This record gives sequence, C-alpha cells and structure tokens, in this order.
Amino acid sequence: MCTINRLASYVYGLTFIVLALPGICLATDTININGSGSALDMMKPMIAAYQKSNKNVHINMDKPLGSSGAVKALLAGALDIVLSSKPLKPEEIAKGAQLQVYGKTPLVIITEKHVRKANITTAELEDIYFGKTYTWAGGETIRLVMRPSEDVDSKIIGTLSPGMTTAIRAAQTRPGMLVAVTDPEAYTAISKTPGAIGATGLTSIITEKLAVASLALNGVIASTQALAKGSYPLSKEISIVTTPKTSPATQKLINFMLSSQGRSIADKAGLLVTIGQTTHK
Amino acid sequence: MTQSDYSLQQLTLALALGISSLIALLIPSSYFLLSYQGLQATLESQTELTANSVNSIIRSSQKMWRFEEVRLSEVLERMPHDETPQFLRIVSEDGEVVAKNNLIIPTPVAMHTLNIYDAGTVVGRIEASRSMRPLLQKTTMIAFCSILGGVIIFILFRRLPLNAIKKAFQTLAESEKKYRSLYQTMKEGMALHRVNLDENGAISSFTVIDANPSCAAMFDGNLDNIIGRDSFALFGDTFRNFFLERLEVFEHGGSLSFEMSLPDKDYFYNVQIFSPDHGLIATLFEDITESRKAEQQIQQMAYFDTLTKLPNRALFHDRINQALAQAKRDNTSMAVLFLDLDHFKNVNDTLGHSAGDQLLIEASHRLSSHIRSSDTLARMGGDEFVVVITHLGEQLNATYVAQKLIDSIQAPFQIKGNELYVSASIGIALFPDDGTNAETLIKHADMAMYFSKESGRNTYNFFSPVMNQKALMRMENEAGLRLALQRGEFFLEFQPIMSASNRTIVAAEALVRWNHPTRGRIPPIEFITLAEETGLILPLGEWVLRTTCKTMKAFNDAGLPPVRYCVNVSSKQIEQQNFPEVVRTVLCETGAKAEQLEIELTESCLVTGTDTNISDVFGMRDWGITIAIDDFGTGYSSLSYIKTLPIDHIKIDRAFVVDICTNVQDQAIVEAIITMSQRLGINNIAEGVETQDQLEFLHSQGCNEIQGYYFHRPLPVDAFESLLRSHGKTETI
Repeated sequence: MCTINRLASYVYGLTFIVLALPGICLATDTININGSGSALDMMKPMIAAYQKSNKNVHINMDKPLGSSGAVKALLAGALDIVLSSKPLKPEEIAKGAQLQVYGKTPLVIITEKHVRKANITTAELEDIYFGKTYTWAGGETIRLVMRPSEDVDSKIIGTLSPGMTTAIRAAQTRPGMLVAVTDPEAYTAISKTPGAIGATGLTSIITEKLAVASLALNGVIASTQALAKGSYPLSKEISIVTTPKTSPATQKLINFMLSSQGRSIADKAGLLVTIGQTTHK
Repeated sequence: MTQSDYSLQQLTLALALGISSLIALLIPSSYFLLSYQGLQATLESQTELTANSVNSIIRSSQKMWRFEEVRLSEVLERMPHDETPQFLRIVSEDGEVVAKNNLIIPTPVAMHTLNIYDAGTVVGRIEASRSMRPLLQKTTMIAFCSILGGVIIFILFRRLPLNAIKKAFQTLAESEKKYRSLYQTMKEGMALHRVNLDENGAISSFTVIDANPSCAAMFDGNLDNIIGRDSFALFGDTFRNFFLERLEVFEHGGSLSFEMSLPDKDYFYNVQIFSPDHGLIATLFEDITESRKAEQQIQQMAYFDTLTKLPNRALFHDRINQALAQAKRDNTSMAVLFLDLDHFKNVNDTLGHSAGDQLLIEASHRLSSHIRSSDTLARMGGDEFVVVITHLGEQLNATYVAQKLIDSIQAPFQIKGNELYVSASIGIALFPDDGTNAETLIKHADMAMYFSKESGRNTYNFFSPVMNQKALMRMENEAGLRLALQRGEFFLEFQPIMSASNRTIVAAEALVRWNHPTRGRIPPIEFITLAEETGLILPLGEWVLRTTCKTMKAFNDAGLPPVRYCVNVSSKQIEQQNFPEVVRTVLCETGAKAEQLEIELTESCLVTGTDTNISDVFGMRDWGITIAIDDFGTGYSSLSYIKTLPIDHIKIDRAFVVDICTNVQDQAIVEAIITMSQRLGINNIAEGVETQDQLEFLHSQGCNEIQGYYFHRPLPVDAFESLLRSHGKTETI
C-alpha cells in the first residue's frame, strides 16, 4: 500500500511540475520512461534535475514494468526510453532495440531494520535460501523475500557461488515463499516484514531512503567505490534502451543523462557510471 | 455336431464376445471420458483463478498491463496446481503472447480458454493447457488391463460354457450309449411309435419308428421288417383294441399296462405303454409266457385234480357260486349232481390203486363227454364227482343228464387187461327248491346220492320226494313211449275242418293219441313234449305222417271225398336234415297224394329253423303239398316270414277264438289276422270254434275255414270215415 502511495506521489509531483510551468513551455513533449525498479529509482533525481531546465517536457514514469516488459513496451511504441538491468535478447535487437550500458549499481543484501545483523556470508545466504537456517541469532524467523526466477536479481545473487544457484532454485520450489515481482515490491516487503531479508539496488536505498538495514557481504559494504575496486561481488547494470525512432526530446534527456551533470546525479544516486562522456545533439 | 449344438456354440461365442468387448472397451473409454472431463474442469478452474489474478493486474495498469511480463509470468508461475504440469499463457486480443510460464508439456494437450477483461471489454484470453499424455498413458494401461481382463473373461465365458456343454454332451452320449446298449440287449421288447394324424388333426394310425432286437424277435425276427410298419398290423387286434380304448390316458402323459397274448404263437406279453414325448408312444413288451405257464401250472395244481385233470373241490366251489349268482340274477334253475362210483373200493382192493386211478381217469373222460361245455364236472375226492348243470330249464332235464352219466359208466372199462363193469349212483339237488347256497345243494345232492345207494345203486335220486315221483313217472313215460311205438299203442284221430261258407268238410287234422295199456289214454300234452325232449318225436312224427298217408290212400281208394289231411310237424323234425326226403318216401310208399297233404308248422319252427331247412320244407309245395302255420299269433311275432314264405293257410289259434264274442281285443286281433291273410292271398282257418256266435262272427269277418267242437270233435278213423262217407258233398281240393 505504501508502494502505491509512493508511486502516486511521483505521479502527483510530476503532474504538479507540468501544471506549475504552463507559461514556460512553449510546447509540451511527453517522454514515457519505464524499466527496472532500481534504475527508475535512480532516474527520479535525474528527471527532477532535467525538468528544472526543461519545463516544457512532461516525463511520464509509471510503476516499473521490469526490464523485459519495458523493452516490449518500448518496441510497441508505448515507451520512449527504457532503463533496463538486463541485456537485450536477439529478437529484441532484431526489432530495433538499442542498448547503451549506462553504469552499474551494487546489489545490496538488506534486512528489515530490526534484524541485528551487519554482515552476511555467502554460506549463510546459501543456508538461508536452502532453508537450513530459518531464524536469526535473536530467534526471529528469517523471512526470505525472493524474486522471480527469471528476474536479474536472482541471477546476480546466483553468481556468488555454485551452491548459491542451487540454493535459489531450491528456495523457489519451496511452498509459501514470499516473492516480489518488482524492485519496489521487494524492498517495500522487506522493510515491512519482520525478519525479512532480500536484495535491492543501492540506487533504491539511496534515492528512496529505505528504512532497511544494509548488510556487508562477506565483510564488504556495498558502495560504488567498492564496486569500482571490484571488491564487492554483486552488481546490476543499468542500460539505456532506445529505438531508432527515439524522439529529439528523448534524445535530449539521454544527452542530459550522459552529461557530467547527469553522471554526477547518477553517481550520487548510487550508480557507478561506466559509459563514456558523449554529447548528442 | 447337431444344429442345436452349433447354435449353442454361436450363442456362447456371441455372449463371450459381447461381455469381453464391453469390459475391454467400456472401462478404458469410461475412464478416459471421466478423466478428460475432470481435466477440463481442472483447466477451467485454473483459468478462472488465473483470470482473477490477471484481471486485478489489468485493473491496476490498464494501459501497460500487457507489458507487465514479469508480474504476469510470476502470476502464471505461482498459480497453485497439482502435480500435473500445466502450461498457462496470456494472449492479447491481437494474438500476441503477453506472458507464459516456462513449462513445456508434451503433446497432445487438453486446453481451456477464458477471456480476460478490462472493465467489461475483452482484452485478451488465458489459455491453460495440460498434457493428455499421462491420461492417455493411464488409459492405455487401463485399456491393456481391461483387454487382458476381457480376454480372460472371453476365455472363461467361451470355454467354461463350452466345456460344460461338451461335458454335458459327453455325459449325454455316454448315457445314450449306455441306454442304447441296454435298449439293444434288454430282454424286453421295446418299440417306439409315431402318432399319425389325419387332415382334421385326429389320430389316424401309428407307425413303428424304432424297435430293439428283442421286439423284432418277438414279432417278426427282422428289424427292417418292423420299422415303418403300421403298429396295429404288427401287434394285432388285441393291441389295437386296448390301445385305442385308452388313448386318452397316453395323451395326458399317463402310462398303462395290460397283458396281451399271441394265440398263434402261444406267447403272453405284459405290455406297458407310455408317451415319452409329444407325438410319440412307446411300448414295452415283457415276455411273460413262462411265468404265465407257470401260473397256469400253479392254477392247474391249485384248482384241478392232478389225476383226472378235472376241476377240484376248490374250483368247483368257485364255479358253483358263480353259477348260483348267475341263476339268481337270471331267475333260472340249476342242478347239482353228486356221483359216486359203486363198489369202487373193490377195484382198488383187488387190482390196486393204479388200476383204480386208471378207472377214475377213464370214468372222468366218459363223464366229461356227456355234459355241456357250460356245465362243470369236478372231482371231489376218491370216487366222488359232482356236476353243476346251469340253465336247467325243465327240472326233469336233470334226470336225462343223470341217466346219461349212469349209462356212460355202465359200458365196460378196459383197465390193465381187465374188463371192469362199474355203475354209478347219483344224487340230484335242485336250485332253488333244494337249497340256495352251494353247501346246502352239495349236502342235499350227497344225501340223495346215498339214497340211490340204498335204492340198489346204479340209479339216480332227487333230494325232493316229489321230484323223485315225477322223475319216476317221466322215466316210466319215456320207457312207455319207446314201447308204445313198438307195441302200436299210438293211434290217430281226425278232426274235420269245415268250409265256413258252405259248412262242408274240406280237411281233417290228424291228431296222435296214446292208449297206454295200464294208464289208459294219455293226453298228448304229456307225451308230445316228452317225445320231443327224448327225440322220440322223430319216429313218432314219421309214424303219424305215414299213418295219415295210409289213411288218406285207403279213404281215397274207398271213394271217400279227397279232403286235405293236415299233419303237425315238430321243429325237431324240421331240424332233421332229410325231412322232405322222409315225406317223399312216405308218399311214395303209401301212394298218398301230395296234393291232399298239408304240413302244419308252428311259428317257432320258422324262427328256429335254419334257412336251408325252411326252404326245403317250402320246396315241397312244388309237389303239391300245402303248408299251414299252426297256432298263429301265439308264437314269435315276426311277420317277416308271412311276407317272404309262400304260406297256404294260417290257423288262428283257439286262444283268440274262445272269447271272440265278448273280448274286443280278441275281435280286433282276429279281424286283423283275417284281413292280413286276405290281403296276402292266404287262406285262414279258425281253431277252437265251439259256438254259433263264434262261427257267425268269424264268417262275418270273412274267415275261410272252421275247426272246432261246434262242428266236430277229433274223431276215430272209422268215425271220420263214416262222416266222410255220409258227407254227401265234399268239396274237392
């Protein structure tokens, strides 16, 4: 419910901006953006900064469709730009989808804030996913919030160890498990469920100021710096997906994202921008 | 194999096929159909559940729902279902697959589709599919098991009844073989007959359709000659009569037995008849010849004297009781004669018992030859014999039998080279005068026999003194009658017969008279009957005829009027084969005219005489002899002979004449007789006319001739001669 309210506040905020600057915009361009939840969270400060200088642009960003759904919507013409955390499929490329890796953000293991845990190891995670460990040290029940098997987060966590992949598959077959389809659903569920544990992008933690506890993984705290140094093992890429039909307004937004201002905003939002400095007219 | 066996096999085959096919097909097909319906229901509920979840996503994201691939896929992945893999996908209105779970299910599949809506508008559909392979695999397994079960059932249903039938037929064949063997070798003759019906459905005949060798041996000797023959023609009339009389019994499923004999073969059979099936009759012939002969032998020993073969005391009692019952029923009389050989003991004492036995045998033979077959001669023991004479008629007839028996014994016996003279004494008891039961009659006959012994033996005696007196008198009469002919004690009287119209003598009836030397004149009624019973009527009748003819000749020669001379003839004479020859001889010897001779016959003569004899008598009319019927109306009332025989005169009996003036019945009868005779052209003569009134009545009725005391009593010859001589005018015949 909180997630829905939060999303509604985005919509209201953006609507207010558009309605408050009628005299500035000579013509109103609408840019529909969607994609991965973590990426969209990163885009919120980006859009806010962009619209300060582009008041005639209406940027519409609904609740996240996920990378695949957003790319499909992009190819169907329902979106102008997608921020995806997945690579493109050949058939998507065949249909004209174009991808630029924008950066990557650490995938952070988080718990409900009352869980007294600061660090977690791969082995502990395996045991939690296998169901071998089902209580925290204080006796609290461990409530694992999973992601769908096809979700990129699950695949990224599975890269921790060979046993992790098996553990995730085992967890997915266990009945009665909590499954969150999107990033917002995941961190909302974790923040509100006692003893919950899951994962989310650092961008969401920063931009949404989530009331959760971030755990160090194998002793390494998730940060863009650790990611840049390669000490933190879990990250998910955020790419800009467009089509050859990208409108000028959209391209202008992309250019803003690629600008130093945009890169700076992204970095502050928890994204390690990896794309080179490029200027598009 | 018979047609019924084949049909039975076909039936069991069809039944087995039907039941096994039902089991082999019905079970798997039913399982498949039910399971398929369950599968469809599951798919339907799954699609409905999925649609509920998808619809909620659509409501929350009306424009972008179709791109909610992850969410939708997760919904599809997370849809609860059983262990059976289930493929779900969401297809948009334009046919694009929006989301699906990542299951690959083997074909063939069962699918159910349900539309999904956005505020009442169809925006896509949910397709739920499940593989039918497990169902088909299970169905195949069940089908295999069912087919296996069906095969087993088929074998059981096919084999078991056939085995049972085969066993039943085998048992039947063995049984038939066993009974056929019995049938072929049984001592009793067995025949099977087919009932033949006529066009109306009634039984017309029976045909032998099967017989065993014993039956063939009994009746023909050859089976081929028996089978196909008419049953009655083969088994004879006794069989036919019994069979037809009791046919209804067989038709109602009953059985009968009777005894049948084949006289020409001297065989006896006990025949049992029953109907083994509709339209068939079976007969079982048991040869009881030996047992019957044994029975006869036993009966012979039990009821017949072993020495003389005559009925013994036991059988005699049975016979006499039967005779008594018959006599009581018919109201007739009978006699019991007790006979004892005189001085038989002397024979035994002097010549030995074997000679005595031989004498008894010879005597029994002689006695048997002198009684009727309907009478019974029995040996009571020793030298005692008893005779039962039934339908005695005249009681004195017993004396003749007794005398014959005494006479038969009197002839000498040749016994072991000795000539033996034996006599017998007989006692006679009469039913019902001397007793009404066997014991009394035998006892009284025995007593009468002892009276004969006391009377000097070689004689008979009645138990009743009166009968003894009568018998004595009769014996004397008979002896006298014989002597009378020899001594010429008979003479004739002639009673004139007058013409009713002119009162002239037209005829005279010759009447025989007996002048006994000691008893005087004996009435004809006393000696004529005796003469008939003793057979003396033949010489007496001939004497009458001859004497009459002599008288006629003498009177004719003397110039007396040639009237008719009427001679009464007894039935005994008619029965004599050569009566016409006797008449011819007498006529020739005496020279009398046949035209003046009239033979008077009684009605009984015509009825009792044979056709040949009657015809011969009436043949004498060719010689000129006339025939008159005497005592007309008192004998047998058969008028047929009046019509067929050429009768010349009818003599109206005096019984109708005596009261003719006062009795209207007599008048009517006489009128009828006269009218009838006139119509038939027969002259009539009224007898016993004694009064003027009688004469006038008869004359008025047209009576031709009158005989009676009114004109003349019977006259001695010389008186009749004088009458004729004085009778001036006598009509010639």
